[in-house]
Amino acid sequence: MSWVRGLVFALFFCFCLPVVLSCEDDYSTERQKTVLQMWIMPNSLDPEADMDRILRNFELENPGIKVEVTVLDWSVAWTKITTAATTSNGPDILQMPTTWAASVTQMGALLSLDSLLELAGGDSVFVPSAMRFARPIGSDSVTSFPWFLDVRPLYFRRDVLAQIGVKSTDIVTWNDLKKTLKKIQQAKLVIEGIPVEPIGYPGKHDWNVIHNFAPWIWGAGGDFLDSTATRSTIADSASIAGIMFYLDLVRMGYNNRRNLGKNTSQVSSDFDEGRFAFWFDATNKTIYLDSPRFLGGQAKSVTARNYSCMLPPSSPKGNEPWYFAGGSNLSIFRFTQHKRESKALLRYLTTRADVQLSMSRTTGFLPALNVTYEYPFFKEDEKRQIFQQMAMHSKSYPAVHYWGEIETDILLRRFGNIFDLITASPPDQWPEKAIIAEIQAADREINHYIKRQHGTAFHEN
Amino acid sequence: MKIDKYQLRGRSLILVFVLPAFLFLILFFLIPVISGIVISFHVSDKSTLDQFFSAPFAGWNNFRELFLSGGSTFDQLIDAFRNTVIYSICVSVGSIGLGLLGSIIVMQKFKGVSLVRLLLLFSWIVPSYVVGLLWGFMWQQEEGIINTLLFDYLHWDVLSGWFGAHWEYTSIGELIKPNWLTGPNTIWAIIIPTIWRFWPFCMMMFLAGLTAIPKEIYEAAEIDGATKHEQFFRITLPILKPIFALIVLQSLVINVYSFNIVAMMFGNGSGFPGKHGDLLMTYIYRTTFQTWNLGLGAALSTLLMTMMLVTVFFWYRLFWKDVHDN
Repeated sequence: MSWVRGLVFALFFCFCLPVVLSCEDDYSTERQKTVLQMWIMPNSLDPEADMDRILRNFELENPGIKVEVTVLDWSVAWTKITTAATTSNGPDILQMPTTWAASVTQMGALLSLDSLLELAGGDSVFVPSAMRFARPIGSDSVTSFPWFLDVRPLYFRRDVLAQIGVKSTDIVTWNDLKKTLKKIQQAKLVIEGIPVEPIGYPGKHDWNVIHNFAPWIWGAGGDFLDSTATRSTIADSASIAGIMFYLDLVRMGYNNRRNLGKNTSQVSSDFDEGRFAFWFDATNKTIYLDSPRFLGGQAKSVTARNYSCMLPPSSPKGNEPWYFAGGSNLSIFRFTQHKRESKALLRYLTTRADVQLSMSRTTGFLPALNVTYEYPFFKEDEKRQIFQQMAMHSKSYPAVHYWGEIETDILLRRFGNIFDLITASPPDQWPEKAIIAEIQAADREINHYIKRQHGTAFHEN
Repeated sequence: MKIDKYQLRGRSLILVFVLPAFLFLILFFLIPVISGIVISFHVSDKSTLDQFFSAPFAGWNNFRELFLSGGSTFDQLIDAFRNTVIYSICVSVGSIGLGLLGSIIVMQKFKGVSLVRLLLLFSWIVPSYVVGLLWGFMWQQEEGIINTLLFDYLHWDVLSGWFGAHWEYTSIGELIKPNWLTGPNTIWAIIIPTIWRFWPFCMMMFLAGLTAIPKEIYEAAEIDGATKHEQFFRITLPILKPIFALIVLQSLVINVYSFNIVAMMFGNGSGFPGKHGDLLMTYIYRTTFQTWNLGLGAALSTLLMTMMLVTVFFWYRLFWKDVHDN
């Protein structure tokens, strides 16, 4: 039946040819597009899909550009970024965690963004602490744009405070916090079958170790480095007072020693399950607590139904409270072949209030662009108003190129040793002298490291 | 001696076969090793990294910094060296001992021996980074399965108390379970998972050796009146000596260069394993890739390589005859 075969072939030809042609058209259009490679960290529950959603408008507004997003795990991000910086083989644009910005700038790998900042309206359009790492000490140029901010409010359980008769507004100073923690400890509360401990914080197996210490050190009037960032001040009496107050919460039994063997996500889960009354965490905690379980959240848990947050208390000595600000900037590698397109993407993500808002809604982090806080999303929400207050009164680490190493190697290790000293000591003993000796050893090591760094020249950007 | 054309062709053929391996060794072994040694004599950090061999010459400064700086570098080196020696010896002894015992058990004839052999190999096929992650959870003080089994089910505190062990209790009488991931216990938290993962490999090697021993030797020994005990110590062990030698060497090399389990167990790279858990490889990684002090990291690697060369030299002196003769 040759005519049947002929008919099938003709039909096939008629139906398939347009499909093939349209595919070819799509393919060639795709081929003509400039593909931007972007590296980000896991900033949300579904980082790649969330980022693609945020970038959808950009791709519609710029039909000639396609953005390919790669999500780097935090454990490999530092090595990957620095390897890309030294080998000139990496993405066009990348998320730059603030404390790493100065280090990568010193490698001479980042594109100068001065002209772009002028176009955006200058430094004042961004939250001041977020801007600090955009132009690191020793660099004449802006090498990154603030993208989002991360502050760490004090999360608490309303139901617990109600049961012990304390209002959140009563907790203003460190001593108020201690008194409240003592009340919770003495009350031996069991809510929905779960014994509630006063507070929880993790020990050494974590990236956040230094972030957890920072507000106490600053709150006590101390700091990590002096104002010129050339001398360690970690062993000054004020810094030691801040560190000892924070650790004292373990000595008093408010934070159980067993938490020191855990990392942030484990203690955070314990808070979600209702085991603690207080917990310090980033602002994106709200996303996890408010999202349903099938999206990886904790909605409907005892904590999700009863949580709120407050400003971390301030030192009773009347020192100005400073809240820790981390977060991430966006940078463009110098070796990119798509400078114009990368700059357009960077402007889209950092200088447009609607995109900043969308990013904040998705990730739970705070916008770095001041004007974004005018949206009702921030003005009409009690928790976000607290976040905003913290953002405007936040402090970040010294923006020097050697800070990354001081933080990730020296301080992380030394504070890890301190937690080892505590967990290895009997419950009725407190290794105060050994802790102070460890802080002094950290001080000497940082000074030695800074001296060595000052022998190296700063790269021209 | 005259070489005919067939011999010459044979030799050329050998050269052709050897050449790829030879080139591979030069490209992927010799050049990186020499590069590492050269870098250890340069100031190679993140500001000079792109200059590679043109980076400022440091002479012996990197090595001097390791031993004579008087700072934490030397302390960390001593801690890491001590831990690596303890770790390597304990893991080698533990996995070789268990491997030998396991191989003798699975050599016996019983129902389902093949299945037992297969099941015993399971821990060996788990990737080392997964082992690190899993055991990190298992060692947790309160929720970890190890403390739960030891203290909630087996009541190890009560059992060990009969032998004079002392345990701490909270004011409300709750037992304070040991914290394996901080303090001096850390070294055991990394040794035990490594033995758990490595012993099936030793078992396989011994099993191969055991199956190769002719049965006639044992039959002759039995006729001569040798007991099982004597057969094991006078026949089995001497015949297995070359396998012992190879496993000892392999075990030492693998364990001295161990990294994954420790790195994954302590914060997935974020944390510091502690004075009692830091190994030479984790120390080298921190120095090289977290602080980007490649010069110092290369100096450390050169030292470690020299140390291993000395170890291998002694191994040759001790075991070469056995391995070569067999």
